[in-house]
Amino acid sequence: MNNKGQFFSPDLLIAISIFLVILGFFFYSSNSVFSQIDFFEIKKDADEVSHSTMNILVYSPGVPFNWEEKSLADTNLFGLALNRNVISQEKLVALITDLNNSYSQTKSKLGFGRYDFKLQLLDLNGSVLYTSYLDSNNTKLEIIYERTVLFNEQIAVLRGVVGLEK
Amino acid sequence: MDLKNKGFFDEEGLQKSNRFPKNRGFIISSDAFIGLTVLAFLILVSLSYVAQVNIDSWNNIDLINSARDLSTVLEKNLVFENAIKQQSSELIQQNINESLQSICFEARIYSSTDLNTPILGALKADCTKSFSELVSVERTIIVNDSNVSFYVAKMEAWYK
Repeated sequence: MNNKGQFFSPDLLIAISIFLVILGFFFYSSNSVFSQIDFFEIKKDADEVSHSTMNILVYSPGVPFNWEEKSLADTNLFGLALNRNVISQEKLVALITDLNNSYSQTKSKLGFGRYDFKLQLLDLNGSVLYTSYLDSNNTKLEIIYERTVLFNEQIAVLRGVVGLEK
Repeated sequence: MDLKNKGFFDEEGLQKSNRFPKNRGFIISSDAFIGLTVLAFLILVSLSYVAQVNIDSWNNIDLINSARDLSTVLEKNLVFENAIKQQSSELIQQNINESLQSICFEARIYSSTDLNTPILGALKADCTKSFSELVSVERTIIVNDSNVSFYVAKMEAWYK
């Protein structure tokens, strides 16, 4: 009975080992690919929201046009423009105040429901002239969107920082 | 017939031809080799498709927005108009040099009567015209000096 077939032959063990290594590689790579696809989807969504919102901020005075004089509840759409690419100081200060005082509500009205948002105005040397506060400890990735604008007849950069949460 | 004594079996009773078979299986047989080759090929093909996913699909729109913003701002800040009046590119050059760091810009101004030969032009410092993606936007400039003249400002943008 010594030449009876064995359940685990060396060949079978080697074959199973190779199979398990390949299976492990597939699981590892598929997890990596799935997490990358998830990230692409989130970034794509953040890109859409950010481009749309930054366009409105730079091109539109908002709705109503004098929203900066009204309460946050009466503001339908934020916009910072006196006219295209020309930023109103009053509107900018009002939006930054709203972001600092009523962050969640203002962020939702801007369209950044799932994401964090920080608004900054910089001069051409990179010095920050105005900024809203954002606790970036909870963000794993910050995407920066910059637009060239005129502010008080000087060329400046309006920067939107969109944070993807952990 | 005593087969053991005739050399067909060893002392433990194992048949000699089973103990050292000449046609024993390889670790990688031809079939397995072909199978693994096909598998590796399929993995490479699928990975190449995954690698083609472009996360920066908004790059082109960002470039267009940046070129539009800069040309709008230079027009509204009277940079284009003053440069035309002074017949000097220096003003445009100064402003372009201070634009967004990651993007190269080149501005050219044409008279509306000759859109082939620029009368003024400025390329951002530290930029060369080497790009994989270029966008171009145009704006009409009205200069009201002694008489009204029309010019076209063409702004090109690409990533550094």
